[in-house]
Amino acid sequence: MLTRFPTFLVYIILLTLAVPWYWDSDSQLIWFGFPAWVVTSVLISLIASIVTCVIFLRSHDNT
Amino acid sequence: MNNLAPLGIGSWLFIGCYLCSLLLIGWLAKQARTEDTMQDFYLAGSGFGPVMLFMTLFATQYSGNTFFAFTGATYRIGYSWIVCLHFMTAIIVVYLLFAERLHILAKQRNYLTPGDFVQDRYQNKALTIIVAIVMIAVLCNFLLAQLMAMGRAMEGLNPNNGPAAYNIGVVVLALIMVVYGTLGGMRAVVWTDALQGAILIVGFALLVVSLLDLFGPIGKATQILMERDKVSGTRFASVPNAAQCREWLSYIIGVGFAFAFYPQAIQRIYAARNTVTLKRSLLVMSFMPLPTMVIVVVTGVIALAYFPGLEGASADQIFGSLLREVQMSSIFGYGLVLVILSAVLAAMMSTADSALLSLSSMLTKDIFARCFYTLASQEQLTLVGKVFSWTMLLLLVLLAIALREEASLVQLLDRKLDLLIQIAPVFILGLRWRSLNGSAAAIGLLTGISIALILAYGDLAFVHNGKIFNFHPGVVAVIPNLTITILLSLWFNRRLIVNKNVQKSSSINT
Repeated sequence: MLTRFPTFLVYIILLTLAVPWYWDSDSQLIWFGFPAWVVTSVLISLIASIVTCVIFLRSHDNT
Repeated sequence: MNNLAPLGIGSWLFIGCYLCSLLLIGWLAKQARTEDTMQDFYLAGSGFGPVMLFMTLFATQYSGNTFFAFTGATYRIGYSWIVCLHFMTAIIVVYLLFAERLHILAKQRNYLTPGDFVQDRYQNKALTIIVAIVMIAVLCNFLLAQLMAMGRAMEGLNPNNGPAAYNIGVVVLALIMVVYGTLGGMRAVVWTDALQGAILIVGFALLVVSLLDLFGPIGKATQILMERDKVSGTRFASVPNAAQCREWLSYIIGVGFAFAFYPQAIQRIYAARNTVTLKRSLLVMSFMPLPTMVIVVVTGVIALAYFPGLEGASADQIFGSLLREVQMSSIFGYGLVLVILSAVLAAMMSTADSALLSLSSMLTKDIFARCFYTLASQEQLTLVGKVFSWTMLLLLVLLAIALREEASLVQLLDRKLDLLIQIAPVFILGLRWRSLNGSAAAIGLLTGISIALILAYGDLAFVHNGKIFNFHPGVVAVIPNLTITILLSLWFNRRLIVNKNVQKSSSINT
């Protein structure tokens, strides 16, 4: 599952994008009533949920 | 929840009936018991289906903290608390690392407590007891936070009798919880969780609709905060700075790896009927942070925009100020607040009862039965567990009353993280790396806990606001924990191989 390298890499990328370090600190953009950086952060979280859901559906972990 | 308008007799009757229904569920769960064993009492026999499991996981994970502490945290730091969305998702991602394997083992070997896995995997009593003590300490902290949140909720319902209402609230709600928990065990807890989870979802969805109706679109609140940031230099709606970004990283990693190991969550992994059930529940859970946390942050942002000025522990009560506005707006608003209050009480009780059940099972099985009375029968242990439930709850109720104004709910959350994350290597590595040695894991764990506690309470110059370079002490301490665990395991295994080779060669020579 998570220990497979491609999956692990996807989560590392999502973690990197979830933290809004790459936004301009003076940004005043508002999307859908929220600061734009909040909207991107929420979207990344949604992608993380979808990826997690797909992994749960496809996993066959045997001890 | 100070500032709420006083409730009428009808409202109190509604809340009273709701609380009585929990006792009825406890009694029904007692009737449904098939045998007087610990397995039946603490894991409800053969386990739960996907819907029940999902509801209980949801009600256990989204608690009084969700409403009070998280709304309070948003109120204190603004949009930056959207990090809660990521760390609640991270918990489910961490389950990918171990939940399925742990569930399969639990079913094969009849695990009851997290300590059962540790003992079975490592055959190391010291490690099992250390893990149990850490988890018990965390559960006590967790239960204390829930009891305090219950008290604050009742304080808000009776604004004229603040301290007395807090004390009565803590005592009465704790009493109801321990009665239905003692009657029906895990079955009662999960059935009430299902009821409470449903009320929770409906109540909060309605709250956001009413708040947006009362205060206008969220964009208006965002504009107010952006203006305030410009004037007063705050960062309520601004992009998080470097320090806040590091804190985000710490929260996502820390909460993800710590809160996946709440004993009550691990016991729900055990209690799933089968692997398919577990995976179905967890995949639905992976989508729950999004609606729940966005709602909580929106609520906190509205409060921050329209009711500024509260600080410290009183910021946790901001939720009540919002409810008052809804309550005073119309008869529908009054009824809605009543449903939401029931939902909030429900959330706190369902989280607390799960923690109490886990606490009693660990004290009974991992400490009492393993260290003091190894020959006890199932009936005796179940009885001892119930006695532990009552005793621990009594002590924690007294502590909650003593600490009424002392701690904010997020401070309590941070200390749990510092301790619980140290256990992650014992479970994750233990399930995936056969060579992991029990003694090495014990030394690593003790090192991690010591460093985390020294960093958190040592009053060190480089620790600011309880964090090191904006990272939680627990997240920092897990690095030496992990390093020691791995290096010592490799060393112990190498010594074992050398000893075996020496024995082999000496037996050949003789």
